[in-house]
Amino acid sequence: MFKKIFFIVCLIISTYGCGKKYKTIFTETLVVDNKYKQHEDTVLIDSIRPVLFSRLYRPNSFGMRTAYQVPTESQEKKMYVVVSGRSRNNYAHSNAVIVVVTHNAKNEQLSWDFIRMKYQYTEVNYWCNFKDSLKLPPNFYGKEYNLITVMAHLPEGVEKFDLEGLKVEIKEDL
Amino acid sequence: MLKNLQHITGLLESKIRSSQQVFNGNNNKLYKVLSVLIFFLALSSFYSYVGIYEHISERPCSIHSSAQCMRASVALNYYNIDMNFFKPRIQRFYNSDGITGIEFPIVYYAGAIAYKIFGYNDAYLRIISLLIVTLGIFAFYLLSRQFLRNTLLSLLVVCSVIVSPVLLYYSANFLPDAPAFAFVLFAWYFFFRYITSNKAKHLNLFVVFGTLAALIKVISVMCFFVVFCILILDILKFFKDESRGSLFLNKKKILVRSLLGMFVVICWYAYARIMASIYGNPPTAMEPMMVFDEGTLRTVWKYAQNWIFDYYSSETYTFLGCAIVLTAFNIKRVNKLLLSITVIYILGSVCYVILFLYQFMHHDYYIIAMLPCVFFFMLTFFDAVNRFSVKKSMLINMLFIIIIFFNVKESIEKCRENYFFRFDAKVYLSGEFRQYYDLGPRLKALGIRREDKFACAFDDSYSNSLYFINQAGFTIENDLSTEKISEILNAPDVKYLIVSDSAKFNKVYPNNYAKDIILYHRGLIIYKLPK
Repeated sequence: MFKKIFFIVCLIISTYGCGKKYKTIFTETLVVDNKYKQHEDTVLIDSIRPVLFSRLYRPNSFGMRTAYQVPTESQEKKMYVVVSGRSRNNYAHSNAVIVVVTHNAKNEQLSWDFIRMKYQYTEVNYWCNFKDSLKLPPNFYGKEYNLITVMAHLPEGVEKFDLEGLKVEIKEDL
Repeated sequence: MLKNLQHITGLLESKIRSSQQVFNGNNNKLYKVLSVLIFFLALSSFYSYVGIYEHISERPCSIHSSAQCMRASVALNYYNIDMNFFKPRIQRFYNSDGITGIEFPIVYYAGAIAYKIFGYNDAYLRIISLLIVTLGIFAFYLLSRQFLRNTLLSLLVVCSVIVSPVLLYYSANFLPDAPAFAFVLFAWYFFFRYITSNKAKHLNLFVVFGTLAALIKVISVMCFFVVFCILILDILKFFKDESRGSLFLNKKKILVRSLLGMFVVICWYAYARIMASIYGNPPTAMEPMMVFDEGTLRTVWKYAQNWIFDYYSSETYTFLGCAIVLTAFNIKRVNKLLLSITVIYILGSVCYVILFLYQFMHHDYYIIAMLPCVFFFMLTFFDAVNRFSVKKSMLINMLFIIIIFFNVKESIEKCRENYFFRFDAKVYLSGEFRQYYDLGPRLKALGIRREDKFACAFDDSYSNSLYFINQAGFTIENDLSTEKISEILNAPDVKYLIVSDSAKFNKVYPNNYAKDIILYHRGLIIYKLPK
C-alpha cells in the first residue's frame, strides 16, 4: 500500500514539476496599414495577395516596434518575450533580427538581446510562418525591468527583410 | 537573572530534544517511507526551482556541447545501426562505420533501449542520467542517516553538498562524469552496509557499483584505492576500539573482489584502445595530461580560476573553510573511519589533479570525480557536530541547523543563477546549432540516405552539426586550410556539403557550387557535390 501511495505521489510531483507555469501579461499584434510609415521602413503591397507588408532593406534600419511598461508587481519575475508572424527574406544567411531591449526606471538600458530571423526561414524568397521566444535574465542579477521594447531590425548587410504582421507576447513565470 | 537564563536555556533544550525525537531514525516502516518521501519531495522541488525540469528536453547545447554530442551520438548509433554493445559508434569518423573505443557505454545503451521503446528523443538520455544521479544522492542520504540517525540533519548534509552548479548542470546531461560519481556513492553506501552487516551481497554490490563507476569514468577507480588504504590502516589497528578489534573480519575477501573489479576495468580500457586502433577512429577514453612547464601552468591557473564559483558558491566555500578549521581543532572527536576516507580521498584527488592538470583549464566537469572528498568531509563534520551536541547541548545542534539552512538557501540561489546562464549558448560561446535541429527530416524527404556522408562548414565542434542532422561525415572548422577542405570534399564518400556562411566559404575555398544548391534551411545552404 505504501509503495503504491509513494509511487502515485512521486508521479504527481514529477508531472507538476515538469510543467511550465507562466501567464501572458501583454499581447500586441502589429499589422501594416497605409498609415504605417515610421522608422525608415518601407510599406509595400504583396504582388501575389493584396496584403501590405513592412520591408527593411538598408543596414541599421528599424521596423515594427512596440513597447511595454512593466507593472511594479511583475518587475521581479522571470519573463519571456514570444514573437510570431510571417516573414520573408532574399538572403539565405540573413542578418535580420527581432530586438528585445529592456530599460530600468531611470531609463538606463539593461539588456539588448535578439532573435535571429535566419533560423526562421526554411526557404528563400517565400513567406515563412515563424514563432520564437527569448528569456529575459531573471531579477536576481539586480535588474528590474521597467520598459521592454520589441522591434524589427536589420543590423548589417544588404537584404530584403519583409514582415507581414508581428505578434508580440510577454509572459511571466508564475 | 542568571537563574532565569539557565531556566530558559533548559526549557529550550528540552523542547529541542523532544522535537529532535521526531526526526530521529527508528525502525517504524511508516517513518522510513515518510523519510524517503520527504527526501524525494525536497530533491524534486530543488530540481524544479533550479530549472532542471525546464531544460530536460533541450538537445545537447551550451558549454561542452561538442563532448555532449559525441557521447549522445553513441546512443543514436546504437539505435540506428546496431545494438551490439561492444561496437559503439561515433558520428564523425574516418574508417569502418564509426566504430571506436570509448568508456563503458552503459548509459548510452540504456538511452538506445529507451529510443527503441519510446522513439528517439534526447530527453531520455538526460532523464536516465538524472535518475542515476538522483539515486546516487539517495544512497548518500541513506548513508548519512546511518551515521546521523536524524532525517533533518541527513537532508541538510545532502543539501549542503549537492549545491554545486557543475554537478547540477551535468546531472541531467550527456557526459558520463555525473553518473560515474553517482555509482561511486552507491558503492560507498554498500561498503558501509557491508561493514555493519558483514554480508557478502553488500560487498558484491560495492564491487559492482565501484567497477561500474570506474568503467564509465576511469578516475572513479579511486574508491578502490581508498578501500585498499583503509584495509592497510585496519591491519595497522588504526580503527581498533573497545567494541571491536578491527574494522573488517575478512580483509582478503574485500581485497580479492576489489582487485577483480579493477581487473575488469583494465580489461575494458584495453579493449577500448584495441578497438580504436583496429578501426582507426579516435578513442574517447580519458588520458592523463600533465603540465610540465611554468608557462602552461600559469595559463592553466588563469583559466581554472574562472571555474572556482562553478564548483561551489562563495557561501559553501566559507562554510567548508569554517568546517575544516573546526574539524582540525577537534580532530580526536571525529569519526576515524569517515575522516580517514576523506583524507585518503583528498590525497587521491591531489594525484588526480597532478595527472590531469591540463584538462582543468577548459573542463569544468573534471571536478566531479573529486566531489566524494566534499561529501565525506561534510558527513564527517556533521557527524562530529551531532555527537558533540547530543553530549553537551541540543542548542548547538539547533544553531548549526539554522546556519546550514541559510547557507544552503543562498547556495541554491547561486545554483539557479548559474544554471540559467549555462543554458545560454551566447555566454559560453559554444555556437548555435538550432538550425540543424529539424534539417534531418528535410534531407530524408529529398531522398538522402543516412549512409551518405556530409561535410559541414563551418562547425568548430567535433560533430555537433552531424549529430543533429543524424548523418555521418566530417565537420569543417573555421580555421581549416584550403588543402584540408579539398581533401574532405574530394573524399569518395562525401556527397553533400552544408554551408552556414557561403561568402566566407567561397573565399577560403573558391568554387562554383552555386548551381548545385538543393536546399535552403534556416540560414544554411545545402549543396550536392559534383563528383
